[in-house]
Amino acid sequence: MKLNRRNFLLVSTAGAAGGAVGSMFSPLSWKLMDDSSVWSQNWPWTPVPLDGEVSFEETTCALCPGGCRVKVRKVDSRPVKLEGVDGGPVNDGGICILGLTALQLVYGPARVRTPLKRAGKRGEGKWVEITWDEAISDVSEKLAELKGAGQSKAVGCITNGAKGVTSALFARFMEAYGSPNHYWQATAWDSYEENIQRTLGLNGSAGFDLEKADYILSFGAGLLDGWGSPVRMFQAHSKWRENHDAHVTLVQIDAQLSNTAAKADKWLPINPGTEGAVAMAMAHVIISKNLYDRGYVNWSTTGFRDFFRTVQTEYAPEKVAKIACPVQKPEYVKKWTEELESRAIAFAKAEKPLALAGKGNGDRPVSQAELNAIQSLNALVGSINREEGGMVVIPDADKYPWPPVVLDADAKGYKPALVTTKGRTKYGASNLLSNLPKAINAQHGGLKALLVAGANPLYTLADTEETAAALQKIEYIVSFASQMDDTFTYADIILPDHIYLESTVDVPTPPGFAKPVYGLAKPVIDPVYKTKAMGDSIIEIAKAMGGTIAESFPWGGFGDAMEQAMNEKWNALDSDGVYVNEDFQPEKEGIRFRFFARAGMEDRISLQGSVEKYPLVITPCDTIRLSTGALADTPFMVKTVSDTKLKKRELVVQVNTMTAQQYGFKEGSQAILETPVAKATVLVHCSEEIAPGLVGVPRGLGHIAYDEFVGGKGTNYNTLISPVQDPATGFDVAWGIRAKLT
Amino acid sequence: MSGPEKTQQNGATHKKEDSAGVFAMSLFAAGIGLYVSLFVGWLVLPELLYSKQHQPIDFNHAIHMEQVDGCTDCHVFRDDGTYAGAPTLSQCIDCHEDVQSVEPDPEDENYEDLMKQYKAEVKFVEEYVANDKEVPWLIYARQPDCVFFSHAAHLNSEKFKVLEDGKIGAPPVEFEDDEEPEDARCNMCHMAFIKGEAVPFGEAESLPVYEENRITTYSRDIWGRNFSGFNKHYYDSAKMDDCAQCHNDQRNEGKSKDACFVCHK
Ligand code: SF4
Repeated sequence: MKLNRRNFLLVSTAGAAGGAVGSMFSPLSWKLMDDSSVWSQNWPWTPVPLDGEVSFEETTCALCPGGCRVKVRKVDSRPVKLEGVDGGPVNDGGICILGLTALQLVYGPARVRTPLKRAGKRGEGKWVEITWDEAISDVSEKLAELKGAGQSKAVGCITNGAKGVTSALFARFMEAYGSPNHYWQATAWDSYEENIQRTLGLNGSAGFDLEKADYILSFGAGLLDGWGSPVRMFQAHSKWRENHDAHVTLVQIDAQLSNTAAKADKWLPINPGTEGAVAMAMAHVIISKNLYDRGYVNWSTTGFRDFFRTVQTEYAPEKVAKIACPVQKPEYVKKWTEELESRAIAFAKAEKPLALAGKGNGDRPVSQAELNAIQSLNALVGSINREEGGMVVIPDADKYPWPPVVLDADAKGYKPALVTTKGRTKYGASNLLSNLPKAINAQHGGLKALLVAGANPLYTLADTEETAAALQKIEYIVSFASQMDDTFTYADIILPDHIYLESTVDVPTPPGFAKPVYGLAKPVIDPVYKTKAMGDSIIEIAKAMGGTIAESFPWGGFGDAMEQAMNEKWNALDSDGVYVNEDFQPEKEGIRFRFFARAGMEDRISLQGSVEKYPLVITPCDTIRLSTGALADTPFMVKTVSDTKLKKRELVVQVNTMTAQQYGFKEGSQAILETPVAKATVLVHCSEEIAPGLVGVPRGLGHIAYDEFVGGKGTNYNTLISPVQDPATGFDVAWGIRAKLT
Repeated sequence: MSGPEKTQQNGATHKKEDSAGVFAMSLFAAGIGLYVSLFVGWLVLPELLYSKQHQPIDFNHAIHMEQVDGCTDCHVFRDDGTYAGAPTLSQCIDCHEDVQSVEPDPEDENYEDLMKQYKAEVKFVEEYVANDKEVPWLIYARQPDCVFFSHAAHLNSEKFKVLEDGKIGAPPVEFEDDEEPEDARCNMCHMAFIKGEAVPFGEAESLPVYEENRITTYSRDIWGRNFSGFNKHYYDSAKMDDCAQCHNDQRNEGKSKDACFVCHK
């Protein structure tokens, strides 16, 4: 046989054929096929749940003041899911999207895993890991140095509100240290507290028996957009809708068709900022038609005569319509006015009517003029302290029974706070954080060190540029953040906090809840990283500083301080995780509601910017899917934001179709949104769900830090606006800003 | 005949011889191909496909079975009925907080075996107990995550037993009257293959070599020792077909409503 090309091919083909036949009779191909199909189920990125013992542990969610009881499902020691606890006094089995996805805060890439010290320039993002001992001594030495140099008042502290043991420990530290500069950012609930002092002379917060009310007038309160205790609100809404016989009417008076407005029985569109005037017009109708509760007004109020006169002369619905009706066409105005009147009448005739304030999710303060007007409606229909379905005042909790703070000579001396107050307010300058950046920028060296505990001022304060400039002036910023939040980028040292699942946290009565309820979060998992509860960190800093400051913190740790603070509630909290004061009766004896004649139009908060240069008005849009506070969305939440708010990485603003046409925009057009303080590139979403002349801007986007899933998405609403002070309290009550779209 | 014709004839003969040669060569090549392919398929691939690994500790089931009251004493069912699998350190520590056995005497006739056990226990206590570290056991019966298997249902079910005329093969374990049926049931599926012998796990004095499929990462016990995939006994393999044999029968006989979602939740 000659080995030519042809023969060679023939023989090789025969060999291959033999091989092929052989492979049919060997398991090779079948086995490999089977194995590769199994292999394809095992991609390394396919998440495989752990196998182990399943257990459930209950705690209280502390991510917002909502106070939901939650249970964590664990496989061995690893938490895998969070659920609401059936029978929880606030949430009865429900949980919100933030609570549900809290494990992403525990394990997510934005988590601060160990104490850090800045290595590069501010904002450069260069950090070195340090030990807890180094972190505590770094902070205590710096603070001791400033105190030694007579600069104790130049140390500031920002906490997330005033309530709760952690905030109280920071407040105590500031007192012992000798600085008056402890601040937090006011919310609508702070406005209510102020208003309760002014109108009822009580120290307490507002509670609403919403589950029992039968006619609800919501002045922009986003009841289904994060207002109050969000899960409770969803459940209250379901209850209103479940009971067909006793249908509860919800009227949403709002500048835009928010989720709440969409689910309401009636949406009465208004121009933003006219809520107070609309409430006064409704009061006008109720009084004119003699529908007010004479018994309550005669016996339990003061100032009605003046109020009556002002309302009757200044707030006729036709007059108010001129500023409040979003479309000034005569036939529309007429219909709008009729609607307002009929709603006011129905409200007054209802058995258990209730009027609510607090724009959007309620984390922005409301002007006292507006609250006076809305609360006047509650007073007119006898809803204040009504047995059922009314508004009650939850008295402020007693001071924690801690030993008195020990003060040295420096701490005893009077020092004015950097922020000045307007008039007499419940918490003095403390909840005027919104005014702090301006004060720092105005007074060089006003603050030399700042402790940021559970707050994210760079994100949450209006006018980001001003805030950034102020932070830049502070030499030494200590952050206690658990996540790499926006303010973290300006910090010099980070003492990372636990996530509530790893820690003990008290949750005072949730905003708007009609009974005093106290919740306790207890550690249900071991700390995953080298973090420490903020309360422990501040106690350790105090101890390291020695002297009277250390003496003021006599506890072994945060747990001891907590136990002593909770006092008689401790046993219930320790065993059940929750304490409900079932016998609570609101204080009624001798309590009189004071009507304020001045409300509505003349006290309307005017926005920054001229109408000529900035013909449009920005109004914020809140949704339960976007966290607007110190804590950002979880990555999962961002994924659920609709593309009418965020498209890829671009902010989408909502504009009425007519307005869009007027400025030559189509659906999806790119535009520059400019306000007197900043500019941003946005996409336009044309819609009928917002009044002409307005630009609806979602809040809760545009974080500059965190991780790739949360940061750099859209623009922060707060960068576009600037604060506007309420003349009565000094709170930032800006409900928008003038703007133009080009 | 002219020269060229002759040449032609000779050429024809050559051609015949040549094609016979080519045919023979082809046949031979085909044979080689067949042989190589069969050789690779049956003998080489199994060697290449599976890596051989030893367990971190050579655990002796037989000794432990003398101390406990059946398999489920250590391979526990949790309160919620789920099966816990390999025992965890916290269970072992009950007895092995310190080394229990004494170093064997070299004079002892079982010196080698005793020494092996002693060394295994010392290793366990020093490396794992002392460091509070779980033993990373290699699990012979590990199934993909898409498979739901309830040990409790099988252990308690009347249906789950090897029939007298076992369709698949002879029962590996004859239930004796005094034998704990639970243990016998465990051994119906969980057999240790040691040196080619199938031994009920509870009687095994050492742990089999763990052969891990390099592609799937599962143990060879899932597919079975027989590379062809044909198996004789219940315990030979644990692939879907093995489960389906019984589940299909049950369904066909109208005794259950078995469907895909019984196992694939
Ligand atoms: S509403 Fe607040 S408290 Fe309740 S689950 Fe959500 S974040 Fe937690």
